[in-house]
Amino acid sequence: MRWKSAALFVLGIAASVRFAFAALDEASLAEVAPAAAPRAPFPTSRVVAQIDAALAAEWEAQGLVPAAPASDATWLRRLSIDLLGTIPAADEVIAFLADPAPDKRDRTIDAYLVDRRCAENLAALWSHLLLSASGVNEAKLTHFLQRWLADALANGAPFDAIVRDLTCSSGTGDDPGPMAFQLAYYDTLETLAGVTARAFLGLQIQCAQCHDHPFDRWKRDEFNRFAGFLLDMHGDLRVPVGKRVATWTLINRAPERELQAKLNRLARAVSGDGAMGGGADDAMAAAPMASDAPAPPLDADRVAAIGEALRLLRRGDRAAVEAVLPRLPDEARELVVRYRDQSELFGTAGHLDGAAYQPVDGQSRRAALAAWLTAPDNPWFAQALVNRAWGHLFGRGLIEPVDDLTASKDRVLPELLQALGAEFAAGGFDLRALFGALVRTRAYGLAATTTESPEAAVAQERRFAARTLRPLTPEQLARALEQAAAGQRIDGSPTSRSREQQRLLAELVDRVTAIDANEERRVGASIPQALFLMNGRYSHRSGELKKGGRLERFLDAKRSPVERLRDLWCGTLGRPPSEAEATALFAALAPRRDDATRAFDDLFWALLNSAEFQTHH
Amino acid sequence: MERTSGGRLPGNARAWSRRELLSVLARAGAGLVAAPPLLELFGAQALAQESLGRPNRKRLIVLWLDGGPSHLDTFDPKPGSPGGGPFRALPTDVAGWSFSEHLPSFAARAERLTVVRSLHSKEGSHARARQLLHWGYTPNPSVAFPSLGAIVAHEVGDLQHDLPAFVQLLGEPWGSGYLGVEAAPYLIADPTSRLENLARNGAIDAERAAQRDLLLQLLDGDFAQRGGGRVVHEQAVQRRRARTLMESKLLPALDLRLEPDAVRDRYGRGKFGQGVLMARRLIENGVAAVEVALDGWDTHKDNFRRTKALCDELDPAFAALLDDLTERGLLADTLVLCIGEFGRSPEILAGEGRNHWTSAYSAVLAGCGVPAGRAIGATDERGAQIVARPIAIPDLFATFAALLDFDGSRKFQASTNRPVTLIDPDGAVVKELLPG
Repeated sequence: MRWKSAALFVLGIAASVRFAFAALDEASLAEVAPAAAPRAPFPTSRVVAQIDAALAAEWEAQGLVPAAPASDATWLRRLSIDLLGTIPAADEVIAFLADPAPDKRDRTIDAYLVDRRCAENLAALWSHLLLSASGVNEAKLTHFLQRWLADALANGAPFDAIVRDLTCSSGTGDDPGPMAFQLAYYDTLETLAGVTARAFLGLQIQCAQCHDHPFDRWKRDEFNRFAGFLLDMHGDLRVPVGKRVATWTLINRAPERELQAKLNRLARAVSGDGAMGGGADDAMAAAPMASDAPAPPLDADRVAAIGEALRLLRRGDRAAVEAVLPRLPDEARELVVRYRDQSELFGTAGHLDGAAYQPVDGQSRRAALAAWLTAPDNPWFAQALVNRAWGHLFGRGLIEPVDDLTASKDRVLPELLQALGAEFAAGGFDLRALFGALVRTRAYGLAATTTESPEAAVAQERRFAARTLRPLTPEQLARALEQAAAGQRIDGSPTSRSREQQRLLAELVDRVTAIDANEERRVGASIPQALFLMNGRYSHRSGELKKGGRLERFLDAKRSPVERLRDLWCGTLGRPPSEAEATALFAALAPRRDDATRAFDDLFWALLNSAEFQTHH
Repeated sequence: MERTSGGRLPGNARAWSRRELLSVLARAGAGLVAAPPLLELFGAQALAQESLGRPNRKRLIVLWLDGGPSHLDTFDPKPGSPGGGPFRALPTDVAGWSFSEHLPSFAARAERLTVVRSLHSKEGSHARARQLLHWGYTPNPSVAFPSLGAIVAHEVGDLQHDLPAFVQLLGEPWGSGYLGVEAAPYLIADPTSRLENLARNGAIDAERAAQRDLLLQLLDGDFAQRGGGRVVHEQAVQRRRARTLMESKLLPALDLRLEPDAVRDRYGRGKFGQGVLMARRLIENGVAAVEVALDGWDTHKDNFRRTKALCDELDPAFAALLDDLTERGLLADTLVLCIGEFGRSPEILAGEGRNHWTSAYSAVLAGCGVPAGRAIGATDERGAQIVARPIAIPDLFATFAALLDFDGSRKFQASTNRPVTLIDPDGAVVKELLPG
């Protein structure tokens, strides 16, 4: 009897509370979402001309001779890896090279930008950037975040809207979507503050967490006030063993009220017969409790102490709450102490650029943060995104490291970055348009340097007068291997990576060689990768006799030897074989089928192990 | 080829010829159980003699305690102080020096090691602190610093040796920066599982392999001319190192199944313990630098339970390593370093956690002539501030250069136009850690 009425009581509270919070959240978002003002489209050709002119002037000033333009084949492979995260299929390469139209590059750019694989590629990169500091939570949440991001990007959502969603959404349910970002850090708000600043503003404030930053401008005070915007975020994430995500919640609630709710629940749980847990489907019940085991029976004094603490908190009498602390049960004391520590450190909120923050009734702090982050006059947001996009496409940013805007001393044309940031903001933070402009610049189409002197090469590359060569990342290499072995183009499947991909990644992701100053994994040649390519699964009989697979195409007697060699080269290196290569290899194509298979295996092995295949050039 | 015994073989001091050794190895590799004395012999000393090469060449083993181990709960306990925590302290034979109760093997071996209790730095974030502790320099994004292991491999090790001169077990790879790919670490992610891809596919005979190599050279040569020279070179180096590894007769050093169970048990059967055992085997087989990582020390919550569990792994592994190196006469030439990126706060936080602490923390050194049985530096009664002999990380690195016998003032061209020295010139050698 008591059970039923108690349960109803709890459910009743839960329902009313949830409704109240839902209302609060909608109000907050309404505050933040800007009026749908029409935005001018991004002026692509003007921006391209601007970049070309600025770089040309810089090259002249520095006495740099730009490298030759890259060949069509190199350009296509480069674009494909940058935008789609994989190499082009043989048919695509051959068609592109044969196309006489003068606007073929333009059309390819536009096609790639709306290709689903592009959205998925960028979603995967951003998801890793956002979640990697969360340790084990990354694996639990990444596919939710990637799927939501891929959908948003594929729909052409402006990036400021995306960032607002990532920063201040709330809810509970099946699919966390954008909330996966904050959920990953639901119990470490200092880390979330650091990641937010780094990912969206290009600022490395996380060092100021413990003390004033050793050489950058950030003081500990400023860090704490920035983290203060996250103080009203309360979340919980429960993942049973073997599952992805089972239950999660993310809400806006003032810290005092969150504490009250938890203490309330604790009091209910331990009063009476002690066997009653929180309400069954109460959203707040998902909030972390020490364990699911029944609480040990407590004496009346302790239960009374919880009640007293609650009353004192409502009155705002902190000193008296401190006095009650020793009488509280351990769990309750921990909650109160944590609240006290956090609200002391992060109680006031303040913007990093000193802009005034006035709490507004009905607007959560996170909503205020989201508005400030994406405001057109935010000093860093637009530039941080442009620099990151530039770094992705060119191999290094205008400012290096790519997300260290204030402390970096390695800057090329900072005024260009500023101008581009302004254009990006004015054009509505259209990421597609920004990429479209950057890949149309002259600099993007240059070949690698062929100068002998290493110093001259570095000078050229740093100012984008020549292409910076990079090794393929493990993810890119895994996709490239799979695409090379398949004959047809592998299309992006929504969020579910093929099992082959998963296997490959598991083998390749460890093959990084160094961590540089910015914690980015810098991939390079490594012994395990060499061993994998020389002796592993792709080293022999790998172009399987799948229908339409690479080996089958090579053995297709209906095609001429020249065509077959070209198909093999284009499907792996993205270019046809050179004269010298063709001459040397002609002899390899024997009339008997099993000899041809053997020849294929050897050629394929050499192609996959070549430096050219493993390099993003 | 007969070798003369170095007089270090236990039991019957008979020299084993290389052929005998290899046949024993082969049999053991095929799964037959070899008698323990045989395993003890060939597993360590005999190969070590031959492969150490230059006599008295120094070696480095780093036990990297990732996350920032609480010095108060390990090497510098202050039981009874306000933030001292529940662990007791075990006294040692050295007056005034104790270890946490969960490191009894350390305490028992105090006269064979040295603790430094007065390390300090300004880097409180994990990323920068880890970099500082691996590079010996304040992190600077425009310089690709090599890690200590890579420096030792390059300056002290033999880069042409069969096995890579710098091996890392578990943990994240710490690269060779401006020293180039020859000194890059070979990362073994799991010392307990079989290494993969070490054998060429059975269907490819030597002749066919040679044909494949010719094709590969054709492709790479062409690419090198089109601007890919540096990449081709790096890949070629790694491929060569991979091939050498594949064909090396020292490959059994990477196979822990060749160690008797009793030995494997002594180190602890977890990945870290087994990694330390492999580190010993690698050092015996001519590898210059090995780093084994033990992760999990970043105890913002639940510090005492987690620290105890980690100590339960660290304690036996370190003891077994120290004992084995001593017994095999390798300790005099091997520096063992037990260190993390910072310590933890004397204040205990909600959730029984300790925060990062950079004002004072500890490390343990053994071997390589470091005067043993000493505690260098001291902290106050809470373990919060240094009261004697503060030592900065560059100072420690300058000391490493002296101990490991390489010239820290050698200059190299980093990516910026200024040359950089291997060791931060602002570091002052800690004389108390030098022999004699």
